[in-house]
Amino acid sequence: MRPSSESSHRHPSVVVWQLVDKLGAIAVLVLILIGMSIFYADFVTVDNLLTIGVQATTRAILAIGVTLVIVSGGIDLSVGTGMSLCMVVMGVFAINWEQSMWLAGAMAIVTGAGIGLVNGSLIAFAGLPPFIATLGMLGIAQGIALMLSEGYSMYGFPAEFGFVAAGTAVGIPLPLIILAVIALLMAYVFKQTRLGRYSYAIGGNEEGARRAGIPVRGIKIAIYVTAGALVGAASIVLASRINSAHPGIGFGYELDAIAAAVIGGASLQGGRGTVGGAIIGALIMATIRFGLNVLGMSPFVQQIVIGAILIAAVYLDIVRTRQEVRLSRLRAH
Amino acid sequence: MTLANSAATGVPLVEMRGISKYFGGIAALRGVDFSVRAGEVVALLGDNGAGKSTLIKTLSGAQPPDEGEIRISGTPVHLDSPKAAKAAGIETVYQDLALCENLDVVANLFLGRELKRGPLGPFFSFFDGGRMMNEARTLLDRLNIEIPSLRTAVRHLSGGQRQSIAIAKAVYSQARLIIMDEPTAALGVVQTEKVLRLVRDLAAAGIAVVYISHIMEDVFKVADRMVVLKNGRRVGERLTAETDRDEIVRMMITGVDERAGAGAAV
Repeated sequence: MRPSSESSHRHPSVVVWQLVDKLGAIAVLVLILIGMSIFYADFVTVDNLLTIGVQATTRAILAIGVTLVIVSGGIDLSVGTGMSLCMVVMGVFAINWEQSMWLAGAMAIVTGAGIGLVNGSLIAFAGLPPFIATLGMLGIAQGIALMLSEGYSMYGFPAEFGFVAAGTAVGIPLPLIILAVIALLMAYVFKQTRLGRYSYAIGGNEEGARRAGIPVRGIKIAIYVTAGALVGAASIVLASRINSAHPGIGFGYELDAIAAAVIGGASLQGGRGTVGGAIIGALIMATIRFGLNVLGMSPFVQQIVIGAILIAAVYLDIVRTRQEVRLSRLRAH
Repeated sequence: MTLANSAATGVPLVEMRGISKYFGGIAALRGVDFSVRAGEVVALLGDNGAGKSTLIKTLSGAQPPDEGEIRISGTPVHLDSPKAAKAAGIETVYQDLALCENLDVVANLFLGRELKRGPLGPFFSFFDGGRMMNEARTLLDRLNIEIPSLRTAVRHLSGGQRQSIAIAKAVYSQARLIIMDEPTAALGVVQTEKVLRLVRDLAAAGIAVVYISHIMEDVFKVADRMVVLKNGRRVGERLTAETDRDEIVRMMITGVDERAGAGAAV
């Protein structure tokens, strides 16, 4: 290995882009915090930051899964209503059938993985575009969630279950610890496993990946199953926070999760995205939502803002990709 | 004399006999014979639709032939899938580059056969970045391929460097025969020279190369032998040293081997 000479040969423009990639989102987060501090001098407090962090947890877990999907060149629109369904399944097991909370939680994750299995199979074997397959699943998951819950919120989780969202360990809110564990695990998956490496390869050049002998179909299914399992995990955290299962709560989360992934550097063109980026992106989204609440903006207007942010983030990604394609063509000759 | 290869005698590494391939009622290949020896660069020539791609696909396992026999080192083989062809030591470097531009050089070279290390085997292991880096360095040095940083994403490299990496990837697979489809089509002059030199280096190392190109100048620089196809038939072949551009182009256009007297009817 020649680490020093390896890095010294990098083209300056490459280094600049990599810095923008790595630090751009963090800079945006800091700017938003500074901006909010101008409106409210005491906006940046430990309490507020922890609250933002806890509120970001659900979105961050979803965004990590969505990032894996986006890295492979796909998209998952079903994470929001899928989360509702996972939550309702948890409610059915824990409340209706009075099973243990552990089993209920496990079933939430199994349900999420099952949704991913269907998504992945439709995409890998039936050849559906990911956008359509997961859009259909968005509706299907919503419908099943409403059927199982009969359209009502489900109350009556055991009191201890609240600990997941409200508990602390060594002074740190438990959701943040859960997020940290998931982030570490997924960073390992992204960077050190074939699943992660092949997701990047498929997103970069699917035909090339196939020619290199990668089992593209199997990897795609594994990608959506992983994202689905994370949806299940997110549903546990959220259900604990609202101390109930709500069949309508998830819808709209896909918007936040995709926006968080893209703000965090994932490219809808595929081949790019990181766990760290997804978390920063989710923190940005949570900070914006928290800030809009503090500013007294109505939830309706917030929806508009979030939608606009998603569009802006994707547009920036398109501009960046165009520029890179241009540079790449220039170098090729 | 270009054909200075001592390896260019003896049993062919790959021998294709009477290869035919039909698509519906249309014959894309009709009884084509084709062979390559170890250490030999054979150019496959012909106008669009002559059957070059189809012949290559029968050899790379992508489209097994309907009739005919393929022998490797004298042994009949059934190349009924790309996997079978790879297992037989046949690798293809495609025109449109099968590299992942978002991955770095090392990741591309090892794509699909990453080296791992770790105490718990498949359950918890890490990519062995150091070992892959070292092996990649050794391989590229051996092939005289200059890439400043192997940690650079491929999209940041020149076309010639990308093509060289695609070729190196084939070499790393222990390829005995490498098929190259228009490897210099998208390259500038300097980069073309480097790739052509790499092809000659491979041949010198005993690897057989099937070289497809429309660029006659490149073909005459790099090939030991040329085989001309037209309308799915083999027109004829020439040693590079014993022919010239005009004769080859005439063969491609007319589909007639002038030296064969009657010539091959098309």
